[in-house]
Amino acid sequence: MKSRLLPVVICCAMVACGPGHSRTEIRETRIVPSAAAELSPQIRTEERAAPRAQEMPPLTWQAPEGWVRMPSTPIRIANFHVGDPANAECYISVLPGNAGGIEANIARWRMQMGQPARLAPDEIAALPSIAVLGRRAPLVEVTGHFADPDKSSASDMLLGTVCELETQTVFAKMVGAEATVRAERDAFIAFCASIEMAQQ
Amino acid sequence: MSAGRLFERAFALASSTAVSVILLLLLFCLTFLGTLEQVDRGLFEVQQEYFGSLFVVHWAFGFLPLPLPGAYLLMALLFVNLLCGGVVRIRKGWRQAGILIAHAGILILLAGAFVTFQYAVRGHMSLFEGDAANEFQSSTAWEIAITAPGAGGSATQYVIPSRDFTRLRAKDTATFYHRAIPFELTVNRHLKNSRRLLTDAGREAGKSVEGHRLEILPPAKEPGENIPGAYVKMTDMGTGTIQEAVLWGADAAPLVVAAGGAQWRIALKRRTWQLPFTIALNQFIRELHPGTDKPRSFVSRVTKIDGDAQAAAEISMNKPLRHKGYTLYQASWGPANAGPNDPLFTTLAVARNPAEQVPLIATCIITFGLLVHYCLKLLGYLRAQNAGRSS
Repeated sequence: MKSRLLPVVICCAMVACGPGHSRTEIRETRIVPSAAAELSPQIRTEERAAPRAQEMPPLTWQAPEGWVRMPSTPIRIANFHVGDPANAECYISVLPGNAGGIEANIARWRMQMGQPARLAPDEIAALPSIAVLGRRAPLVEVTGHFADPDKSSASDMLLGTVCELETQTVFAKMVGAEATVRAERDAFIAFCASIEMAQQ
Repeated sequence: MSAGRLFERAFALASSTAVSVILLLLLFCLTFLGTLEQVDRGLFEVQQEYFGSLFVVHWAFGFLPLPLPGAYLLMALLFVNLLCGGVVRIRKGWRQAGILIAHAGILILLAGAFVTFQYAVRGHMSLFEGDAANEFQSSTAWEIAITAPGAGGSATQYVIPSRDFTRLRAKDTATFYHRAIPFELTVNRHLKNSRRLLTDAGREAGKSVEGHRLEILPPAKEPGENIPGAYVKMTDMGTGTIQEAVLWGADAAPLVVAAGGAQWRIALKRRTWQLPFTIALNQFIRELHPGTDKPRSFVSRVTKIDGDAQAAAEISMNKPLRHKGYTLYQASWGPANAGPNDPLFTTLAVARNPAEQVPLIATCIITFGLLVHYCLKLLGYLRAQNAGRSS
């Protein structure tokens, strides 16, 4: 009896361990408005409020050597991993209007780095400025611990700049391990200076 | 051994008190070990592995594999054990009435848990003031949605729930078809948490499709933060043409496939369910504790639109809205870093659970059963006391 069962058991085990190919009929359907179907399915509500790709200014930039290009997202029109190992990121984002203003955005970045004290207007005016899109924009440098626990390290640093245009505000930000960000400071400034409006 | 004798033995085993004790001890162990495991791996994943499965392997001290039955299996066995021992086999009479009622309550509770596990859906919807929606999304489950070419302002979406392809082993594939879709979609590989990379972006080699590949990431502690990805293949049923692609949960736009003379859009997105009515947010009120940014209360004033009928309603932290089997709770709000004058959105948790009221009903039955039992015991004791005095 045992000898008869053995091949069956072996066959069953082989079938269970081998690659499986299943074919399933799709049974669930729903009717969606065409407009909804055209929306990007991943854009969250708060991101929907951000300008859509076609409303963003057509920007170009020169990425420094060694930065790893990542796919853009609904918020980040340029997106890079920086460092080896990649323990910092740098991206450009664009928001409509003044997006709360320079002072509020610098305060937000400082808060993200665990530095809640807001800078006074004269302190903001005293920040070093860099060239972005043919204008001068403040260069924000904050050290501390980044608020996102998945991205924070023992010591983090944030470099950022806010450039207000007529109808939109352009942000460039690098955040990550302090040693990497500090080493890439000049590259970040050169990256910001390379941002231009594309010729249409 | 005759079939009757075999049945008697099986029934005796199924209704045995020793089996009850073993099952309860195993449930205790599983709860204890699962609770410890949650510290490192997060609530959702451990719930799925320890409490929603038939079997689980617990790694004691990080290196010793300990195979255990999952809570799903244990509770199913407990149901059978209680039914056989606590209802069928138990002596019937007035003295056991309370125990019988309590056991019936526990059985109803276990059956309700089964219905909830199998059929309940939970998700959320986020609305700015002025927004309206008739669908909600899951925080943890995903789907592949294939959208047909639209006509007349609406389009048909064909949905493949993630449960149909998330359990694929390394070399498994799953093919999905529908008579109205001119191609078959095959999921060759599914990654629970991943990142889409341009092929030239990384140093490691890996499967690449049209310049893109997926990098495997460890599961996030919060399940809602996992971004799945999948390698898929579309086979045109008319021409036999094969197109491979990478789907990623955070893609900004769906994949477009040309088949049957039309363009079809395919997206890996959070599982979405439609409501049989629409909710429009009229006003969202957030009150903070004075001098702090801690919310004291938040209230969503909404209009419930069901066909031609419209009704105003208020959803607050302890005051959900119930309609047509769905319950909408005030869950959250955002954006998290909103300034004083920034527009806020409300997030409503939406649940549909056919057994929503079962725990309440079952608990009432169990309480009533225990009350009956203890009253009968008390009466028996008082009678015995009186009998002792009179004798």
